[in-house]
Amino acid sequence: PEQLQCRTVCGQGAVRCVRFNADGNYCLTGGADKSLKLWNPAKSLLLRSYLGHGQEVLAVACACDNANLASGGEDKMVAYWDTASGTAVRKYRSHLARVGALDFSPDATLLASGSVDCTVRLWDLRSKAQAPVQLLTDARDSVTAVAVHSWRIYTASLDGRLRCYDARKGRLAEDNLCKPLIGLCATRDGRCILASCSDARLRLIDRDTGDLLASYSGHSVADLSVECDVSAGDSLVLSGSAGGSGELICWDLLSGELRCRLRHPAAEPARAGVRTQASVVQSVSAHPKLCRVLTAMGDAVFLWADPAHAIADEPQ
Amino acid sequence: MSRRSGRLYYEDRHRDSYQGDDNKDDDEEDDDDSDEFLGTPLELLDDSDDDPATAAAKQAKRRRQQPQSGLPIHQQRALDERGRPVRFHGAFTGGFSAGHFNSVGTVEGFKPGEFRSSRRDRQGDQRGQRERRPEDFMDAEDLGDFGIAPREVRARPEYDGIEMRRLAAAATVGGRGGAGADPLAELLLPSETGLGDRLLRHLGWRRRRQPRPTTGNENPDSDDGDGAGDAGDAAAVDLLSKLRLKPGRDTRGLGYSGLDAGRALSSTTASSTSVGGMRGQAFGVGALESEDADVFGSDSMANYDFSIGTEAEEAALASRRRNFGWTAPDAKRASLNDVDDDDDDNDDEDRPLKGFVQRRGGTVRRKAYPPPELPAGFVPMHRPAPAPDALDVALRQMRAEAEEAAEAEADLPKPPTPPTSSKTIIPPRNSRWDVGAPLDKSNSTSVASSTAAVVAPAAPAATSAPLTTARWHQQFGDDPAKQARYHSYLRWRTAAGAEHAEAYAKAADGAEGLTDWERNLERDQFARAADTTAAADRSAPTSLSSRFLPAGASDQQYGADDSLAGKAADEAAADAGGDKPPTRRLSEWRPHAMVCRRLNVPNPYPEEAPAKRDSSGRPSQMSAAVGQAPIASAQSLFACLFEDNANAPAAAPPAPNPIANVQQPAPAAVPASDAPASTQSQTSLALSVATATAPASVVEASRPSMDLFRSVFGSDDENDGDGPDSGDKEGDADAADRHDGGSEERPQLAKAQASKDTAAAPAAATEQSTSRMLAAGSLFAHLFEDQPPSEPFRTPAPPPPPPPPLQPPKPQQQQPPPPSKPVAAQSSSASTDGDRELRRLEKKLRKELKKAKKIKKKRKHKQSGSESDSDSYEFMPVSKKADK
Repeated sequence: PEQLQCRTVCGQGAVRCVRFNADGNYCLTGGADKSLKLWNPAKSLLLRSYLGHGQEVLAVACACDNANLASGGEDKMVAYWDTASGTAVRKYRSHLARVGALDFSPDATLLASGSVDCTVRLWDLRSKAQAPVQLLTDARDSVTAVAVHSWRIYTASLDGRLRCYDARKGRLAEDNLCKPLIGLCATRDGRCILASCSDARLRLIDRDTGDLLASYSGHSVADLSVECDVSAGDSLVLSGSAGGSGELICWDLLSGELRCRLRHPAAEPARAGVRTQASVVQSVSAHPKLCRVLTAMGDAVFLWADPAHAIADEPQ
Repeated sequence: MSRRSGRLYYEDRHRDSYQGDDNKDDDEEDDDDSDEFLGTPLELLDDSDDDPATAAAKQAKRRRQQPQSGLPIHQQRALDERGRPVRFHGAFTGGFSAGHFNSVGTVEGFKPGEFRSSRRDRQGDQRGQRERRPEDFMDAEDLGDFGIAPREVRARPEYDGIEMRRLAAAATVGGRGGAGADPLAELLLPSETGLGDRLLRHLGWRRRRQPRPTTGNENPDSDDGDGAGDAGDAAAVDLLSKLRLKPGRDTRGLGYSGLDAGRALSSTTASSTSVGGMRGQAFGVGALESEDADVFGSDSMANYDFSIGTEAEEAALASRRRNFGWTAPDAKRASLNDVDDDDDDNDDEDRPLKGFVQRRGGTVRRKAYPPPELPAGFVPMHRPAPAPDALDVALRQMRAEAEEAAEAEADLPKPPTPPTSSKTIIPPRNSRWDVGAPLDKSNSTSVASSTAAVVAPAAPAATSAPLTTARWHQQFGDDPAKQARYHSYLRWRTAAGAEHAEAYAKAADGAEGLTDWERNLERDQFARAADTTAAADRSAPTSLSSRFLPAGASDQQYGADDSLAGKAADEAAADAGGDKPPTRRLSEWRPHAMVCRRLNVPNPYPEEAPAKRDSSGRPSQMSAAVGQAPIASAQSLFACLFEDNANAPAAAPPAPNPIANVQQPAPAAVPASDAPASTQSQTSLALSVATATAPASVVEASRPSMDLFRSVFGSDDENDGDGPDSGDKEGDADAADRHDGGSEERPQLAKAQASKDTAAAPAAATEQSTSRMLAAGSLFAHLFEDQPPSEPFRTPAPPPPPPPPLQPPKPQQQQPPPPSKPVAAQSSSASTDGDRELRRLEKKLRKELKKAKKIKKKRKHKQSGSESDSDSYEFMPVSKKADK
C-alpha cells in the first residue's frame, strides 16, 4: 500500500542508519563518511551536517524535542549534538567497541547506547559527567539494538536474549529467543516487542509474559544488520531485506501475513562505481504519526508513503 | 621640496636609530641619498646638480652616519635632520620638542622664542601689526608631514575630482562651456557653494549667466549664495531659493521645520491678555533640573483639539495650530497645493521648476481592488476545528500510561502483613515492597534455631521470585475456594499428568454447592487459565532452576544456557524443533537512583546507597546479581578500598560442593574452596553479613560518618580520637569483646543462614545465592576456625615474616586478611553497634595493610627476587590461598 515518494542520494558513502526526527518532518542519516546529516526527506534537502566522528556513524537518534541529536559510531564514541548549532555538546568515549545502537529516554534526559563491547551504557544528559550513570553488563554478546520505552529499557543482543530492564520494578526480564537478535523495536503502545532474529524471522514478544505472539518471515538477512520497525498505529511490521535488489517488506502485525514487498530501484549507473552493499535495505524508520517509512539502501535514502496520504511533491 | 626632504630625513633618522645593523649595509652600498626603499635607486647625474637643501641634508647625513657606523645599536644616538642629537622629551615617542627649537635640555638652556610683552607694546597689537597665527606657536616638526598641522598642497574642495572631470570633458567636447563661459574662468573662479550646488553640478546642471531678476528678490535664505556676487550665480540663487535645497545640517527629518519663535510670540500676544514683562524661571531651578511646567501661564481651551473633525475642520484647526509655530508637514503641503488662494510671501518656492507643469488632478488615486465576494452562507466567525483526534489520542495515551503504571504497581509484590512477634527486630528494608516478606521467615528461623542471633533479612530476590512466580497461579484470588480448586487442578494436571477433564474432576471432587453448569464453566475457565499461564509455567520453573545453583557449582555451570555452548545447543534445538518458544528469566536489577529519576519512576530500592557506582565509573555489580544480598552503603567505600580486587585475576572456578553440605552445620566440613570466585563478591557478602549482624545500625550507616573516613584515610592512630564518642568507641570495643562468643557461635551463624535460606526458597534447594552466602559464611568460619577464640580482633591477618605464635596455619605473607574476618567473628553479638564495628574494621584493615606493606618492603629489600615477586599487593582469591 505504499509507493516511493522520494529518493535522496545522500553522498555520504553508505548510509548506515536513517531515522525520522521526533515529529517526522526531517530525518537523520549516519553515513560511512563520518558525518551525520539532517535532511528534509520529502524534498531531498540537506539542512545540516554534523561532523566530529572519527569513523563511520552507525547509530543516530533524535531527542523528543528535536533540540538534540545523538550519534554513535565505529570510533566507539557517543556524541550528543545540539541540533541548531551543529556542535557536539558532549562526546562520550567510554565504550570499548563500536556503538551500534542508541536511544533516548522519553524526555531525552537519558541516553542508552549499546555497543559491541557487550554493554549498554546509560548516560545522564543533564550532568556533565563523562562516565555513564549506569552500565548494563548482562549481555554476553554484542548489543545490537536498544530501545527505551517509558521506564523500560529493551536491549537486543547477539546472545539471543531480549532483555527488558524495568526501572520501576527493579527487575530484569531476559527472554531467550535462542537466536541472535539483530534488531529490536517496541510497538507504539509498548505492549509488545518486535525482535529481529538472525534466522530471518521477526518475533513479536509479549512484554509482560514473554510469550511469543507472532512471527514474521519472508525476508532475508544474510548475516547482515537489518533493522525492523513497526509503523505508526501498530498496523504494519516493517523490515529491510537483503534479498533481490533490496526490499522493504511489510507484514500485517495482527495476522502476520505479508502485505507487500517494496522493491528499491537499483543504484544509478553513475554511482555504481561506488562500492556499496547496494542490495541491502539495512535501515528502516517509520514515521511517528503518518504512514511513511524511510529506508536506507546503499548511498541513498528512500521515502515511502501511502498513496492515500501522498505528499504533494512529485516523486522524483 | 622641503616636504620631500623632510619626510626623507624623518625616515632616515628612524632607520638609523632603530634599524641599526640592517641599515649599515645599505648605507655602505649606496652612500648617497637612500631615498629608495624598494626597487633600484635612480642614479643621480651629479651631486652638484642637487639643490642646496638636499646637498646640505646629504652632508648632514654623512656626518651623522660616520661616527655611528661601527657602533652597536644601543650606543647609537638619534640625530635630527640637521645631524644634531635629538633630545627626547616625550615618554616613548620622542616626538615632542620642548622649548623653542627644542631648546630644553641644551647647554644654552630653555630660551623662550620671542616674547614680547603685550602690556608694553599694546600698540602693536591694536594696530594689528603682529597678527598671531597658530603657526606662530608651533614648532618646526608640527608643520611637517607628521606634525599636528602638516603643510601640503591640496586642491580646494571646489576643484575636486568631479568638477575637474566635468571641465575636462567640456573642454574636449568643444568648449561648450555655457554662454560666455570660458573654461579658464570656471576653473579659476571658485564659488563657495554647498553640497546642493555640487550635486546639481554633478547631475548636469550648468550655471548660466543671466541677469539678475529685476524684482530684486533678495531672499534672506540664500545665504549660501556666492559671496563673490557675480551675475552667474543669480540663477543658482534663484533655483536654490525655489527648491529650498538647503544642506541638512541638523539631524531632523525631511520637511521638518521647528518652532517659529516669532509666530508663537505673536500668537500669544494676540490671544493672551496677561503677558508679563518677564518670563522664565527666576530661581529655584538648577542648571541640571528641567523646568517646571508653566502653571501660571495663561492658556485658552481653544488651543486644544477636542474632536476629530472633517477635513475642513482639520484645516481650520491646522491653521489655528500653525499660529503656535508648529507647522505640520501636511498643512504645509496643503498650502503648497493651492497656490492661488495662499498667496503669501514665499510665492516663489511654490512655483514649480521651469519646464514643469503642476498637476491639476490632485493626488494620484490608487487603484482599489475590491475584496473578494463572500460566499452566501459565510458566517464571519472562526470556530476552532474540532480536534478530537489529537485530544483523544492524548487522553487515551494518558489513560494507557496511567493504567500501565497502575498495573505496574499491581504487579509489584505485595508486602505481607508484618508478624507480631515481640522478638523481631525490624530489619532494614531494601526494597519498597519487601516490607515484611523476609521478616516472618527470618523470624521463624530465628525461633527455630533458638539462638540469640539477630537474623539477617533474606535476599529480596529469594523472596520475590516465588512471589512473582506464584503470581502466575493467582488467577482466582477473590474466591479462595475456587483458587484452592484451581491449585489442586493444576497439581493434578501437572504433577500427576492427568488429563484436563480428569484433573478437574478430581480437583472439584469435594466441592459442594456447585451446579453442573458452574462446574462446566469453571472447567473451561481453568483450562483457559492453565493454557494462558502455560508459558509462564514453562518458564517459571526453568527460570527458578536456572537462577539457583547447586552449592559449590562453578560459575561456568551457573548459567550454562548463557554460555556459548548453551547458545549453540539452543540454536540447534531451535533449528531442529522449529520455533522454540522463548523462555523468560526474571532477575533483580537495581537501577541507579539517577536512572530512576531520569525515567521519572520512583526508585524501587529507595534505601540503598545513593551512589552504587564507584568513582571509577565501573558498573555496579548489581545487575550481575552475584550476591543478591542486602548490601550496606559502605560497599562503595569498600570497593574503593579494594579496588585492586578488580584487577585480580579471575579466580579458579571453585570446586563443586555437594548440596548435602548445606545442611551441615559444622564449618569444618565446608572446604574453603567454596569461596565465591570473585573476591568482590566476598567483600559484598561480608558486608552483607556485617550489616545483617547489626540491623539497627544500617539505617544510620546509610552515609558513612566522617569518623569512618578519618579512620580510613587519616592517621591510623587509633586512640587519637578526641571526639565525644572516643570513649564510647572503647566501650563498644569492650562490649564487642565481651559479647563475642568466640568460635562456637560461628557455626551457628552459618547454620542459621543455611536453614534460613533454604527455608526461604524451599522449592529451590540449589539456589545460587544460598550457596554463595553459605559459602561465604563457611569461608569465614573456616578462616576463623584456626584462630584462637580469645582474640578475634587482635590477630593481624597477614602475619609478619616472624610469624606470630598463635597462628598455626601460616598463610603466605602477601596475603592480607579477607576484609570481613573480624565482622564474621563477631556476627552473633546483638548489642554491638554495626557502624562502629565497621569503623573498627576499617581501622584494623588499614593498620594491617600498612603493616603488611612495610613488611613487604622490608622483604623486598632483604631478598629481592624471591618468592615475593608478586609485584602488586592484592587480595588473592581464597581458593588460591587454600592451594598454598
